[in-house]
This record gives sequence, structure tokens and C-alpha cells, in this order.
Amino acid sequence: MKRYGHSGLPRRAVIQGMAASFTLSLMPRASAGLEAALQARFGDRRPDTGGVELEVSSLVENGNSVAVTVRADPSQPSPSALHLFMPRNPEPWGTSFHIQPPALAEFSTRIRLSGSQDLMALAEWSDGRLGATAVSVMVTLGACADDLYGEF
Amino acid sequence: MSLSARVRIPTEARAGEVIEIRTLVSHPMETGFRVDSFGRRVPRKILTRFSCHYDGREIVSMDLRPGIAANPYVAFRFVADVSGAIELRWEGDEGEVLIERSHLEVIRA
Amino acid sequence: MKCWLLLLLLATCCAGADQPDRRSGYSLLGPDLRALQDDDFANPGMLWVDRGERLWNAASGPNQQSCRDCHGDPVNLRDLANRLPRFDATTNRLDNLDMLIRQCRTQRQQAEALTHESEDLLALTTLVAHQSRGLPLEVVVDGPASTAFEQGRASFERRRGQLDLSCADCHEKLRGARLRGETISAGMVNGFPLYRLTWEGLGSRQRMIRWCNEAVRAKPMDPESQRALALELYLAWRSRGLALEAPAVRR
Repeated sequence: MKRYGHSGLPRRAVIQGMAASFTLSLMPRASAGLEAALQARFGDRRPDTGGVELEVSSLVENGNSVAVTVRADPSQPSPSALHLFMPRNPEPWGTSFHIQPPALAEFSTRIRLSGSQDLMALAEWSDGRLGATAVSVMVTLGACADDLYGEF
Repeated sequence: MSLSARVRIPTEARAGEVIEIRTLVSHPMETGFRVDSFGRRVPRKILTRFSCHYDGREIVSMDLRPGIAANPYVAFRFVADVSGAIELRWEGDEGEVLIERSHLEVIRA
Repeated sequence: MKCWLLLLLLATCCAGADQPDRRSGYSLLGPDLRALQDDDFANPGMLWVDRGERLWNAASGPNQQSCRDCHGDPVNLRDLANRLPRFDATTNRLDNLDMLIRQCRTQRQQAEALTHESEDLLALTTLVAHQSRGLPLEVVVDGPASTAFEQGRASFERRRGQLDLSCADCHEKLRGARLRGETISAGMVNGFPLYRLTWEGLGSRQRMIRWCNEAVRAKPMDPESQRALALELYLAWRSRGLALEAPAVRR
């Protein structure tokens, strides 16, 4: 089951609305870690809603390796960078992906999630504008003592 | 495990064709946040940067942080416009560098 | 009529006892992890297969011999990993894939020994097991192997550790039940060596046995002991008929 953030579907308005409510209502109570990470990378600039899609499973079996795809909205001019934040990780900044033509504004990778959280993808345009989307991901707990660490 | 890469890079494309590069590298991406069974912090050891040069141009570069899963997987796409060398490069925080080279031949229709 | 029903019931019970729910752990994976295992490029276990191929061709020891010099292409060992562990009547002991490769390394190549669960050994075992992908697990448990097999079965059923649990308690009697966010597996071993996300790396059957022992707070077994190999033989027999998946991906 894949969940999409902002998309170009007819439901776009609804989804944008949902994303907007995230931006407005959830951002302020997002972790201090995320706020600091955004501040460090973007200064006082804050993202508008949309312009980027985040594809990730909504239910994750193990937080050690989670497939994600981030892509810019193809109907807009290509951004110069895509960013991914995992607000509840010890380090919220996940990755930044810098793009020059003829590369497409899209990448896939696998990330770590230290628990259920709202992932945030951002697109950054060369004029300084930012666009964001967020997707809620639930990470389930494994059986037994999966925090065992060492030689076993 | 020692640093090594699996890469999938097409060697031929039509002009204007969108092609995909897939990469997988053996690396623990030790976060620096974990402690061992004696309570000692395991020092951070991660790859910090991945980049792709195509015909001399850096078309993609990526900052890798501890939130990237062990044995990092990265895939991206670009438009094949000219024949040229492709160089993929990974850099680690201990100064290690891994480079994979390939050539893309672009066929004009 | 009653007689028939009784017979039918009896047959069902017997079949149930003798035929555990032999479903690969693959069936318990979600779509993302299934896709990861099925993707021969992105499956992280393939990094070890690659490394194994390099080691396979690398000359070592005083005679500068490689695996290839004797065995040719790795595919020549296709019908091996699915039949291990096996009892060697001449040495009167069980061997698993790790031990066969280690013996080959020290006795034939006369090269430096590969340590248990080292990345080099895992690379070679994964390369060889990968050749058997798709073949059914099929171990010999009768004849001279029968004593070890019965030891393995007893070990599987013996309670151990501070949690006082046997392998059978979870993987036989409670298989399919939920434990936190997971479904308890049937303890099938057809995926090994496999890439486990919990480990962020590859591990052998013996590493999994050690991990399980640790999880029930039991003293781990020496992975090269005949006791540990007898348990591995029993586990392989329980998994009989399942297609080998190495390198599988598991949580």
C-alpha cells in the first residue's frame, strides 16, 4: 500500500487542502528538532504547500530500511534540490538531493525511521521558493528483543 | 564489509530518452547514535556524499546523513542528451572514495 | 460411517503432526520487503554474492589456488546447499555449508582460516547457497544421520533460558500468532544466509539460532558444535520441500 503526498490527481484540491492543514496546524507543533533543521538549511524561509510528491508505505515493518521516492511536481519548473526530513529521528535531516539538467527532479532511496512520524519532503527552487508535503508513516514493532545489539 | 558498489547503468540510449541509474553500496552507515553492549557510543561512520557526473557535468549530488539505511540504495533518472562518460562517486567521512565509471552511447535517430 | 469419520480425523491429525505449516518466512513479509527480496539488483544480500564471486576467483594459500581452480563455475555446486547439513560417515560428524567451506579453505587451499560469521565466509556461503535458489530443501535424516537428527529434534523441543521457552513453543505451537507487531514464523530456514533488517547485515542459520537463544535469555550454543549442527539439521528437515531463497530478506 503506497500513500502519496501531493499529487496531480483530480483529488488534488482535497489533498492540497489536507497538506495545507498540515502546514498550518502541524508545523508549529512539529518537533523542535525539525524546526532547528529547517532553520539551519533554509533560514527564515518556510515552505508553501505542494510542488513535491513523497511516495512511501504508510505501514512499515521495520524502521531500518524504508523505501522512499521523492519527486517534484512535473507540471512545475524543475527545482534545484529536493530534501527529505524525518522529524522524529535523532537527526531530522535525512538527505538533500541537488539537481542539474538533464537530471530529473526525482530520486529513490531507503531510509531509517526511529518510530512512527510524519515525513516531510521539500522542493527548493533556485529563486529561493520552497514547497513541501508531509506523509504520515507508522512503524510497527518487531517481535522479541529487537534492540539486541552486539555480536549476535 | 569493504566499500563496493553494485550499479545498473544503461550503456546505450536514444537521444532524449529518460534513463535510470540504480546504485547499491556496501556500507554500515553507522549512525553515531547507537551504544554497544557495554554502553559505549559507537562512533559515527557514514557515507556523506554521492554524486554523478555525466559528460563532465555534475548532474546530481546528494548529501547522505545517518538517516539513510545501511548499504545505501540510490536511484535517479536523467535525459540522455549526448554520448559521454558517466562517473558515480561516493565519499565517506573517513576520507574514503569509491568511483564507478561507465560510458553512455547516445544514438541519434 | 462412524469408522470412516474416525479414520479421517485420525489421518488429519497425523498429517497435522507430521506436516507443520511449512510456509517460508517470505509469506510473512509485507509488499515492500517482498519486492526488496525479489529485486536481484537492490536486494542487499546480493552485495555478499558479489563479494563471494570475487573471493571465488581469488587465488590464496601456498599453491595460489582459487575455488574456481577446483570447482570451476559456482553453479557446479548448485545441488549442495539445499542438502546441508549432512552427516559424514567417515568423520562421524555433521557438516554445514560454513564448515565445508572452512575445511576446504584450510585443508585444500591451505589458506588462512575464515572465521565463523566473518564477512568473507558469509560472502562465500551466500554465493554457494545462491546457486541453489529455487531448489527444495532436502536433507538426509535416516541411517547414520538418525542419531544426530533425534538430538536435533530433542533440542528443538527442550525448554531453555530464563524465559523457559523451547523453539517448538513459539515456532511450532504458536506459529501464526501475533507477538507485538509481528506474526510468529514457522521457523523455516530456507532463506539463509539472509539479509536481516534488524542486523542491517547478513547472517547464517547459526547466527539466527544464537539470536533466538539470546532472545529467550538462554546460553548460546557454540555454532560449530555437533549440538548446534544437529539443531540445524532438524530445522532444515522441518523446512523440507521449501525452495531455497538465499539471500532472502527478513525483518
